[in-house]
Amino acid sequence: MGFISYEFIVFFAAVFILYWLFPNKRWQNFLLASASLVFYGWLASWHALVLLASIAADYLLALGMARWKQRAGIFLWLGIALNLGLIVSVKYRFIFGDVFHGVILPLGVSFYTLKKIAYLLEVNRGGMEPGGDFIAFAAYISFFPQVISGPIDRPRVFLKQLDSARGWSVTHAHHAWALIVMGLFKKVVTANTVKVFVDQIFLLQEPSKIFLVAGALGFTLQIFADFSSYTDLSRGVAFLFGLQTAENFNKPYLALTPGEFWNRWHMSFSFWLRDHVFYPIRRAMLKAARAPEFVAGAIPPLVTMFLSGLWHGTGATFIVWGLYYGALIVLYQWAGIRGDWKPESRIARFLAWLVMFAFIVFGWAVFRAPSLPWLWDALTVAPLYRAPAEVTAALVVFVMILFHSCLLLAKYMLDRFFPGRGGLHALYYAFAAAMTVVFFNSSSPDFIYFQF
Amino acid sequence: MDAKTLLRNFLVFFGVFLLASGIALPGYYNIPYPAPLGPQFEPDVKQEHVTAIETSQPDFVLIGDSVLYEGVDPLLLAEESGAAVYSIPVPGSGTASWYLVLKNVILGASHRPRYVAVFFRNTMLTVPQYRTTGRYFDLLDDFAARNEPLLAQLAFIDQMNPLEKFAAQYIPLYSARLELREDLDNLLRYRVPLALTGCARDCVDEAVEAMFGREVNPSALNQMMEDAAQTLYDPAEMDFEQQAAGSFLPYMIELAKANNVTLILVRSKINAGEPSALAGYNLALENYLTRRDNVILLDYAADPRLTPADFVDSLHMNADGRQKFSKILAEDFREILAR
Repeated sequence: MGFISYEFIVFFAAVFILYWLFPNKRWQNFLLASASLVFYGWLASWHALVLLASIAADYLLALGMARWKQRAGIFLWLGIALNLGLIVSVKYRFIFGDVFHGVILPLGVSFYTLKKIAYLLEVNRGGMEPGGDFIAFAAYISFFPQVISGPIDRPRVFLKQLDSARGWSVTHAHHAWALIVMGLFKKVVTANTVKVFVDQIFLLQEPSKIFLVAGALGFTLQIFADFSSYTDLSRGVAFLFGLQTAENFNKPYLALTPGEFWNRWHMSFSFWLRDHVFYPIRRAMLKAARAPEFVAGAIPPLVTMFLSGLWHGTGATFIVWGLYYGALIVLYQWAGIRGDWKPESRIARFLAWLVMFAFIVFGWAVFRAPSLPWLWDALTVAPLYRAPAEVTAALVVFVMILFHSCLLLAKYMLDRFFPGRGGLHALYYAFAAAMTVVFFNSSSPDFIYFQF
Repeated sequence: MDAKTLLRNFLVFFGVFLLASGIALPGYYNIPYPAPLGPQFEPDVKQEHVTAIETSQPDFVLIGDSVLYEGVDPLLLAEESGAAVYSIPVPGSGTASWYLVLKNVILGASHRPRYVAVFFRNTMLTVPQYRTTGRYFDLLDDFAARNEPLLAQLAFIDQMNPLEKFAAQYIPLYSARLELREDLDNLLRYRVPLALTGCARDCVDEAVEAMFGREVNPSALNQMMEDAAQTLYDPAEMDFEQQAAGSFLPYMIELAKANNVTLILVRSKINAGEPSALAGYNLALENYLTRRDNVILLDYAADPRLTPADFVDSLHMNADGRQKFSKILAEDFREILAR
């Protein structure tokens, strides 16, 4: 059941009405947990059973950590192993040969296992008391607007909201509607349209350089529109339940450095990596204090981004993409450019942005390429273009990208330069809603992050 | 501006958009109000196959998609089986197109073949909406007459939810969306390149065709085909009993029977794994067909004579596979002729 489907509208309407009819938070949490399991088990009921069993396992392991403090580490590593095992069995299923052949595998495992690991780590550090309301914990992990593709909310923040009384207020709708309008617009109008020619370009056996550039630019737009649309919809739906969930995107393509990019792109995942991978490695390296400084500075980002690549996919392109960002962060560090670097002069800022944007686009080319040899050939052997007709075809693609970018850029300009002009904002949202009606297809392709 | 006023203004502006488009679009695009459900087809049916059937007077006519095109050599099949064979492979087609080919092309010709063989795989026979929208619509339109109520009902109207049905009839912004998108696409695709490079419509079309018609990466294409085929393995689609009544299958069988044509359903082998639940679907299909006297099922899905070495990708055969499969088919066609 996708967010943009009739089934979801009916499902959501039923849950929404019941939720606000229920008298207290316990019943509301129970409804959220049950509805989320129904949502997750929509394709195959055993998906929901796996999710429920893994939630129960984490809950018990966290209780074990609190009860047998001396052996907390064992419970923690057991929990991490179970969760990583779940990811591996789904994402790296080819390791097991034909065991999963023909089986519809559950979606979103990579997202909800990170929530579960974060909970275990938080309990182990003493940041949270385990043994609270199991229903609330199940609702947090399985929360249906997030279970497939995040955002990956921090346990403390979300569980605190689930522990609070929630009553209906029209402000929930005021927070939600703009997110839902923009989510639908970005998915239906931008991502689904751009995807058509991006897929065609990356399907070519030997693309010339001009097509590689067009495809990479198109994918840069597509993946942002697609992923951020899902976050907008997820946050909009969560607001309608009176819950505020984490932001995931903060104008990532305006970043001036790779560090800043990762502070703006898929933020809930970046912060998870920072809290649970980057900082622990860095602390460990500083404690050891034996490694030369440049090595101690380089290893944490390289390892973190390598794991980020592994998390995103199983192919070599994802690993190289992760390492590419790790190397970029290290190179910027060595050049004395930290994540929050912002040059004084406008020209320097523009040039810094241009360089970083080029790095981002190249990164997406690595990410989207069907294979590394394909990309290598396109970068080295392929000519700029093979015939004048290719220039015309690429021009058509550039025009399409420009048109769809301008539609999103207009929103940024309104927010940046006309924050107080509510009439213009309302007009933009109305235009976005009208465009969504025009571009709506009942047979739209799936959200591309589902595969993660 | 506070959140409440912003929402109110948005609703007012959106209402104005809907109202203005509701007044302007029906007239501009000549769409009645309320708009009829289902698509509009061009009146002409592609005649080249009708003429060819009348000229070649085949015993067997074959219908299918690219799997038929790549997998069966009609000349070799005719030679080996000793029967006249005419093949109508339509790459990118589905059961909706095959129904139209049977009704408007094969049964529209003055010569009536004794057998029509439909080449399918997995659940294609009972998914009426498969390959009917977007770029596939033009394929469908090639074989459709002006009025195709069954096609409109099964492939389009039955697939719409109540909201879509309402929007398609009463919200012109939605019912005219294909026309609006085509106009926007034309503006972006043709006007800008014309202004910048002097390349006119034909020139742009040729350039885009050259780009998308180029050789594609086989592994990426394979992955894409497998992804596209996943809709055919949806648990609901694998429930034969539920799907059969709402599909073209019973209508194709009835059409063939009414015209004294024996329908041969050929389940092709594919070079990819299939869900175990498909076995139940296949069994239900076989049971369903045993109750029909003018239908023969030829099942090659598990035929050990066809091996992975006979395929070029997950669906299509190579030259050796094509030759091998054509000969296997010929044996069975000879047996059918001898009955």
